[in-house]
Amino acid sequence: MTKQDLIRMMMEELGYSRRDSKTLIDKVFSIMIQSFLKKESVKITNFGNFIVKTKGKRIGRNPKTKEEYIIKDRAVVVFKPSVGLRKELKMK
Amino acid sequence: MKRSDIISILAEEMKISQKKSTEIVDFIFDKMKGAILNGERIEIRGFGSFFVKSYQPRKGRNPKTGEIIDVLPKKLPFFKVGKDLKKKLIEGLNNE
Repeated sequence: MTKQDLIRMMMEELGYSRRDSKTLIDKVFSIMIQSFLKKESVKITNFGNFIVKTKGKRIGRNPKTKEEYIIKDRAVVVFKPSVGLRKELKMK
Repeated sequence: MKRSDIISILAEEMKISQKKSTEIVDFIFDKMKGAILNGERIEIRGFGSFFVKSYQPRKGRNPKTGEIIDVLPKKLPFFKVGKDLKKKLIEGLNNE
């Protein structure tokens, strides 16, 4: 499933125009991204939690060339599926 | 941030009712959940992708007692942060 599929489903099932569907869907994801950038986790009941973790800088090595470089401070987003989603998927 | 916060922000910024906003946000997550339950891969450019990994049944051991037990087959969803978002997350932290 891609964003195009979501847009199409929204047009067909909720009756929005293509342009509105795209704008609304983009907005929902950008609201979540804004939250991630503020290092704030996003929790969606019955779906899962997107947890933002910050990691400090460290020295990395290119395993092939052995070259060392600094991996900068970074934030990562980890998805933890809800218990409900995990259970439902297990039954499948 | 919770689902209800997304609904409020969407309603405010798009100038739509709470009711419509709720319908839209629920619709998006319902569809994504449906796709995951079908084992489908989801790709949202600029955000990330979801995919389901299947695990075969196997014999496991209780590490404490050494007892052999059956581990049932299972499927688990995973999320991978998209390239653009990954970049933004690194930049955001180093430009503070």
